[in-house]
Amino acid sequence: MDWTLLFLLLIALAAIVQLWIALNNQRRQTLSANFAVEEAQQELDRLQAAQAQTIQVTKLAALGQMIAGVAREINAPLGFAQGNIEVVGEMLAEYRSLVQLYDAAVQHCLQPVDLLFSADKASLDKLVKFVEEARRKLFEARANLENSAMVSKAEVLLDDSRGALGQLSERALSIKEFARTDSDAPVLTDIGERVDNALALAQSRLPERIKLVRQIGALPKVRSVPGDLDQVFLALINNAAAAMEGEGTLTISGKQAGDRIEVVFEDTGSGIGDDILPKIFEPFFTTRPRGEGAGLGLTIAHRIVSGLGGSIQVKTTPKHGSAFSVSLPLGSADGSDGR
Amino acid sequence: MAADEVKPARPAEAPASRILLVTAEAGVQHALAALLREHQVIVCADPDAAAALASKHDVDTVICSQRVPPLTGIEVLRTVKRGHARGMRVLLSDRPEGRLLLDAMNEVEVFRCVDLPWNNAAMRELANAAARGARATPVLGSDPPTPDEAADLKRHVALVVIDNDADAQQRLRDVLQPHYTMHFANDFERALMFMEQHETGALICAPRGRRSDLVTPLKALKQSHPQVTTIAIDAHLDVELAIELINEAQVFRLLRRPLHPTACRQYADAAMARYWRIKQNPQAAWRFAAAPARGPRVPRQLPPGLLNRIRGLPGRLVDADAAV
Repeated sequence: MDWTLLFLLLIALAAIVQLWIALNNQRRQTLSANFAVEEAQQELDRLQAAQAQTIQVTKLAALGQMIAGVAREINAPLGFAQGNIEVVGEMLAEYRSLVQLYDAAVQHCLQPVDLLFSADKASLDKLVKFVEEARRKLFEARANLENSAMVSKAEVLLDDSRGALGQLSERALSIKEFARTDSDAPVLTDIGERVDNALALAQSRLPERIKLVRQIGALPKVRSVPGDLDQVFLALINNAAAAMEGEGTLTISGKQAGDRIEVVFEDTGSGIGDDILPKIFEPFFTTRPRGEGAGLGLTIAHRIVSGLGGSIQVKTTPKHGSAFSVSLPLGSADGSDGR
Repeated sequence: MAADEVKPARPAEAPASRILLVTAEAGVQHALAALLREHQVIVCADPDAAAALASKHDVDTVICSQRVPPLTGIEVLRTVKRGHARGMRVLLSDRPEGRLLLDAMNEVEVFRCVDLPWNNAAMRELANAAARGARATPVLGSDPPTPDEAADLKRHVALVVIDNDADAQQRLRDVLQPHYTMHFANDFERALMFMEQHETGALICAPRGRRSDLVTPLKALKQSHPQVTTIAIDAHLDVELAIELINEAQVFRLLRRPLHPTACRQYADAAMARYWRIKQNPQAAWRFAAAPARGPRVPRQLPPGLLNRIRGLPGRLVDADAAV
């Protein structure tokens, strides 16, 4: 009896020890798993920070590549305004000389008044002639002033200059919005405005042989960081321009499809070969000559769009062109983005 | 036949001229009409009407935007050149591409290509230079030389090639040697030695080679001897360089590498014929006067000895007064 009890106790003890070992192992595994989760989270944070940094660096690199063109875009209206202001300055000087002539004519008219009081008949005859001549001069000077188109021309030139300076200000704003770094807070963003901003930045990359067709009407807004969307669209515009060596057309269209907005960039360029197509979103993949592109444009565009819950799809026909379609979820005022 | 000391006399100061301004951009219309108010500026926004207006008003200069929808500036100037050859052609270029400048040079023979934004003083000087060229000088015909003239050309006038590329030299030799007296040089100095001794009508050269930079000597040559026509060879047409070559070196044609025999022959024929016609009408050289060089002045960029030798090259033009 005692032996049986002892045996049962031993079995129970063994079971308890085994259970304790199992529990201990479990706890160790849980601890280890927690540690792994924590590490993974830290790694994820690091990766996200690195990704944000990569986006920013790529953005600045894109800006660097465009800088010559951007400088030109800035220089054109600036030079135009500067030139007009110079001409207006000259016109003012010319107008001033007309006013001086008018003043001289007025002075000339005033002279006979002093002579009137002490005049004999002969002098009066002379005076009449003098007055007639003075009137003629005065009339001529006045007519010159009145007929001078200088003031109205100067006004037109100043108005044009104002327009050019406005253009300059828009360019500066485009660059500022594109390059801004306080990009953590997505806002309701107008797709048409972002396309226009990207087009303004890419203007120097779009020679006149490339016809631009913009078919974007009023669309609901998406929730995004404006500069990020500029970067996506800029990459697609640059790629389209690079694909068209000769004459071509870049058509940018936008439409609402259910709870998404679709923006399509369609070019009539060289298209993408089957061997290249699978690699286009890979980092550092580029078909451009060395120094003309880091091969990150589409990679970053893809990451930005994915981050917004969207997607980029491409349809291409070699030698006929490509169409990159960016699909983005509609944004709502409360911050939800439809995902 | 030729009097070595004859050089085209500088025309009298620029007269107020008639300028046709072809542009659809209101801002450019206002700005240029105001800037060039000492001249009679006729503004035209319709590219199809430009050539007819140029002839109707017998304008001295046609200034045309790069884009005048639905046409390009090159297309407009091409029709102006056909219908009113007397008019000096000026292209306002905004973000030009190499191809546009190639056409501007080879097809339209623009007097100047103005990259926007323009400089007011330079634009006024341009208008005056164009007025001088158009008013004070005869228009040159485009007929090819007669057989007798061609024989004279071959006998008396050389075509000088400056290029280190052996293939290019061989190709030019094959195509042009049967028709012209040719001289090949590896650098500008050797070409100059030849030009000092022999009458030279045209120069074919690569302005910016791997080992040499002929842009400045070409500018200096054109400043002193606008009658010598130049054909530039370039593999990659750099936009800045092309504008510089048009404005400051008045390069007549631009040949792209690899050299195409037909283009070589056509351009060389046109260049030599141009020289021959200027030789008969020395005043016409002012139609091809180069703009003053921008940046550091040419004398500062060239050794004084070389500059003096360029300036001292004999003109070898026909003395019109003596001929009368």
